[in-house]
Amino acid sequence: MNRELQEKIQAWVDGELKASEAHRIATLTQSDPAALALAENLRGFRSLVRDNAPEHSIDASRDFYWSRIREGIHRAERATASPPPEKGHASIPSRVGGHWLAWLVPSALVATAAFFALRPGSVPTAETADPLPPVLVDHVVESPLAEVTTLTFYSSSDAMTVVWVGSAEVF
Amino acid sequence: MASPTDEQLVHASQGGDMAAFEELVARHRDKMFARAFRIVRQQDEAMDLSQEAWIKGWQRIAQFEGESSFATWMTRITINLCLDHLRRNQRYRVDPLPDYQDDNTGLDRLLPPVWTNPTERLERHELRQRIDAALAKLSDAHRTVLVLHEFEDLGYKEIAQTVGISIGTVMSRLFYARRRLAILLAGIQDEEKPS
Amino acid sequence: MTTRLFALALLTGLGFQSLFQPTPACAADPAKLPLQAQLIWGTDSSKPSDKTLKPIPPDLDKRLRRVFKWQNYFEVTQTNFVVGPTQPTHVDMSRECRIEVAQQPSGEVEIQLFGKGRLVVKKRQRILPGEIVVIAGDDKDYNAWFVVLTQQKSRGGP
Repeated sequence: MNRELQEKIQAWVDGELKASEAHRIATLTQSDPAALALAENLRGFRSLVRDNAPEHSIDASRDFYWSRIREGIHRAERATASPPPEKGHASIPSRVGGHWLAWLVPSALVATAAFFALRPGSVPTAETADPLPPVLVDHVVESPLAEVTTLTFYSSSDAMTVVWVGSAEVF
Repeated sequence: MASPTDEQLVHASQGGDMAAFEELVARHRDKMFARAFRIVRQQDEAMDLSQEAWIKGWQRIAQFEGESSFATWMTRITINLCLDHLRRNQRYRVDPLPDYQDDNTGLDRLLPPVWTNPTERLERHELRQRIDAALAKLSDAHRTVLVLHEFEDLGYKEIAQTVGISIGTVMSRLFYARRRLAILLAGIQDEEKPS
Repeated sequence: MTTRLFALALLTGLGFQSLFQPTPACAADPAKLPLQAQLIWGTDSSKPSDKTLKPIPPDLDKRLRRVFKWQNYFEVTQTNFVVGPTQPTHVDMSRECRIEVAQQPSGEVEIQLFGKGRLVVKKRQRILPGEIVVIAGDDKDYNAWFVVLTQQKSRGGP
């Protein structure tokens, strides 16, 4: 019996095969004693391990264990100066300067108004609109991953666009 | 008065009630620690990672919408942190396959029979210790797949996505891990048999 | 309060004006866009465990510090590359992370960030001389990673 077939039998035991392939392996186990023996052993071994999962518990007291968590939470919040993010919103980057973010939205509104006031007659159209939006640029950021959240902002004083990517495994 | 449910504590935590969150930690801390320990196999690391998971849990609790149980949601955070930890410490390497990889003796010869007796508490306790000791001898890569499948009940596809490997690799690592674990268990048995 | 708002509006407004200045790099050679990509690690640790890391240039350090709150920033890698008018350019930032940058007909560039082989985020915008684009996220142990894109200084700028 080759490795590929052994792994197929394993997948069948684990309920991971599509119906047609599961039927093929089921038929095989009826005619091939080695295949049947492997399937039965895998089933038995799986039960053996699952029913005897090693148990581990924490030696530290409730207070001691919690104190380090609380400390970590406070440390992160001191950096952010904000409560846990509101439901449905992208999480605020924990170490982005709180004072800076606090000014972002008002500055965006005022600056946008000032921008158009300084350039009379330059109302954007499909052809003349500048492709770089003035401050908030969320609509040009995409991620195909459901778990990824993004927060995008632009600081003209720092000439910097920031895309903060949350919940992403990059490294 | 009945103690609050997890759902009630989660709701209170989402409103910023840290005492409610502390109660959730107290209820589930051993489970999260055990999950971390099964993957990283180091007491101190598991402790740190489980605490880090709780910190992240608090930071993200507003995003928890109850599509799974709170414990399941926290488990996912814990597992992801542990896998990140292994990757960062370059522990996520796969053992070179042993010589018997391609033999045709069949796994059946290497898998021990089901020899647990659930009515014997001591025997079961001992068996758990043996399984634990054998798990510790697997490579991080093989143990992770086995733990996610057997103890966290994740399917092949979910393991592949969580670990970042193909389904074929999941199958291969799981098969190898089971066989290796069986050999280790059998070896422990043999060593303790009277001659 | 009003004074601060107006001051900020003025600063921001001035920033907008730069969008309409000609771009020396593009004016000189509109077909190719020379960029620099840096992978930076933000941490509160004073010394990196990896000795190959080096401090980032002071001007970038200053800019990052105005927005982010990590105590130290170290450069992991720095790559200069050129983006042609038609084909995207791939740049490996690390073993797990790479970017793909492509010019768009609109004058923007499309930046795609891949982590562990998966597309994590895609961003389109102009990168003018002196401007920086930072794609960043949390790392373990309260650290952070930053992918910083700028036009190469040799091509001119403010």
